[in-house]
Amino acid sequence: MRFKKQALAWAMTSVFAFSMVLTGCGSNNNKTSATETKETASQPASTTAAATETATEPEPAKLAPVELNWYLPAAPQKDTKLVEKALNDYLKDKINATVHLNFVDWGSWKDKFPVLLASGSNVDIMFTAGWSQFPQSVAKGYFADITDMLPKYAPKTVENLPKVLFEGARVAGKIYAIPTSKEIAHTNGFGYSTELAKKYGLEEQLKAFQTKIPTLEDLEPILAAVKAQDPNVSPLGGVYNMNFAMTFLDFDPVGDQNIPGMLYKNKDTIVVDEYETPEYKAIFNTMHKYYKAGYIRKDATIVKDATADRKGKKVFLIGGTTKPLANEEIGASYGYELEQFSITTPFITSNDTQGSMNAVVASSKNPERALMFLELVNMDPIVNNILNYGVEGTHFVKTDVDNVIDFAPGLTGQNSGYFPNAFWEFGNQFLNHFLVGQNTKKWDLFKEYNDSGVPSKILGFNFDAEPVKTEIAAVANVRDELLPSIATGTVDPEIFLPKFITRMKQAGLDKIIAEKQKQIDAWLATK
Amino acid sequence: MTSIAKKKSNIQNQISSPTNILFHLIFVIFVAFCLAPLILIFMVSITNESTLSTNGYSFFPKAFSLQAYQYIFRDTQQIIRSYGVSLFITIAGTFLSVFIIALYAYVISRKGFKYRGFFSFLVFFTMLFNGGLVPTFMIYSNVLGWSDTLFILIFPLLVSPMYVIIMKTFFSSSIPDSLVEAAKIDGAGEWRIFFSIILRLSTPALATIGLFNTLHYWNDWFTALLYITDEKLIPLQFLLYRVQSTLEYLIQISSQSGQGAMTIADLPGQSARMALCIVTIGPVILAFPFFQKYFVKGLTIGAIKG
Repeated sequence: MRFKKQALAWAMTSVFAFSMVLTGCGSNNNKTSATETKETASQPASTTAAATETATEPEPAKLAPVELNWYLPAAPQKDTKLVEKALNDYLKDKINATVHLNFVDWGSWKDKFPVLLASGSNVDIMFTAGWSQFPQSVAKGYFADITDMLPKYAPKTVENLPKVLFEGARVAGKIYAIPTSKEIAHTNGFGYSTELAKKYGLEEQLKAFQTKIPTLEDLEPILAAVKAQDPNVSPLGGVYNMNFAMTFLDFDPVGDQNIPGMLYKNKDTIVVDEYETPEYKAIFNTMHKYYKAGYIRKDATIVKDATADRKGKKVFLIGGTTKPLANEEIGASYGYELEQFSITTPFITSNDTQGSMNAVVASSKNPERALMFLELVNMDPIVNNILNYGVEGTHFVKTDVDNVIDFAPGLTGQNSGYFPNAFWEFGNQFLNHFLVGQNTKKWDLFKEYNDSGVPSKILGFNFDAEPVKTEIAAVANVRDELLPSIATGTVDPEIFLPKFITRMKQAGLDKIIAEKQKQIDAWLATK
Repeated sequence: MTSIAKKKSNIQNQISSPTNILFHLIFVIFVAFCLAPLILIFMVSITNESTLSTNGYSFFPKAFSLQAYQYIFRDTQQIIRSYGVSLFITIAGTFLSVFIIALYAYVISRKGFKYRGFFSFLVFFTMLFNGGLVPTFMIYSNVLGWSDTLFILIFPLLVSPMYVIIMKTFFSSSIPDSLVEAAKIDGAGEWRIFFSIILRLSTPALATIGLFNTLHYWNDWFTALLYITDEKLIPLQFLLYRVQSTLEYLIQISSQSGQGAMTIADLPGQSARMALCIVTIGPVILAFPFFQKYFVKGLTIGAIKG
């Protein structure tokens, strides 16, 4: 009894002590950040002046040297120190900053970055994305609001990046990150081996799809011809997560596309259960027909990785996203020539615009300088290419052709001391040098492609999944269990689709849809 | 029936040969079941990647390839270094940890200790509640500044409340108070009692905790994930975890477009995963035989005549 009382007393005391430590920390933090902002506000009248000048004429003498820590998910590189040195030598004259590149390997990223942010560690710039808790991090106050600072410290970036891209970086009207400029629209489609197409005499028919977007039914003659001529090649292949209803119809996913509850593409803002729409049902029916006709691998539901099939030309139509030149680049990795056609029109959703961004961390001591650095990452080809390819002469060499580079002699992408292979993370991709063998028209085609994209009606909306977390997990389980067999056409949708829908509803699908609708309506009301 | 058979076997000190054969057979089959997965892992690790994707896993692959090992051992120096780091933290950590746990557990197992209630409660409390990831990280990294030191790889796992409780139970149930008293009467001080009597009698418990700790330290990668950025201090498990995640990323990139895809030739995916398993097994399979002798020895030693 006495022990119990004692224990209780001790438990209480420790809880109190602990909470005091916590609050102590909290208020302390506030105080320091307050004084800091005051300092930055009063002290560097010169810094601000200098910064505005930097836009036109760099005056490094007036800038005090600072250190900037940048955290990104990427495979740690052996020569990072070397590259940092080259980068910082160049930056010294520009913005007088010493940048540290902190590559966090892919497996650690999702565990490590929240801890870094929450613990107020020494981070100035943090990579972020819709899939890397961008909205959540903003809600927790980890990222600095850069709406007002942007035009001052990163004017060219604001001017040059597509306006629609910044929509994804906004939360409640304020900008919290600088998006990476790359392709911003998406189209779904198919690639196919030109050699096989020629062999089957299907070139003309397939070429026609490039001008007139085909439906799933339109593909039937092609599939039948392949099936008839070559039993070794599967016309459509098959992998457990193939879902042609999703790729052909291209519904507007509200957040994560694996969570059901979507909008019709550019129609209205009413969230529907896509599995109950007649369009989905029609596609599933066709898929079942194709499955029975043998156009899809019999064991599609258990195939986890289709790469081997694709490389071995065991599948004719290869599903994927069809941005410009995707066929050439994927073809280079597969080792044969590919041609492609799209099955949807270019569409821009929040997932596209939030794919890769860099945020200035709220606790950063030098947010201005961080932005000035990001301005260079996005606008200065030298900075951009050092980050992507390393040091000229050591890691890469220029070729005779303008803007085309090659690995330094003896090096490849796999044994180079610095090749993060994460071009989509390091700012403006339009500044990337081309590798030998790459089509140099790429960026022009990309600009055209981006301009043709139609933005979603809810672009910039972020779905907060927290209130329906349990339901989402339950629905995901049902989806993983039943959807692969329906979507690959393995089972008859007439029987299994209603079953699937009932199970989804039991798992709480309606609650998710209602929550999505509620949040969208609230968001639309503020616009 | 059984008692008769037992008696008979005791006298002859062996079992009849049909039974013997049967038992052997049973154990051979059992061992085969245990070893088969390990052998399969090894075979897959030396299988050609494209053979794997077309034919699946097999004990007798059609084409061999050492590509997976070549990929992992691209940077041999780093692997050797990481092996060294892992060995060091495992050995140093295990000894230090067993020592501290034994000290703590012994003290709270002694009935004469005035504050044992409080100190037992401390252990019990931390078993149920802890500060959570972020506060822990703040203390270690921001307050104490232990990031990127060997010490941080050892410290967080030093005292595990569960083991303290196991150890305390062992002390209070297996070592009679009269033994301590006897030692006291003979003029031994507290330190002498602990080192010369208690520890000597506790080898089974020490070995158990030691084995657990060895596995713990050897397999720990999460501490390194949080606190280590210096390549020189990366333990083996974390290094291999990184190799694995990087490989997955590259394979993913290779099926997407971009200049990245063009630089990636054949990558070992599944075979590399298995090769990683083989590489990590390393010294740990030696740990059990090492501790085993203490289990046996400890059990046969008696202390007080009943």
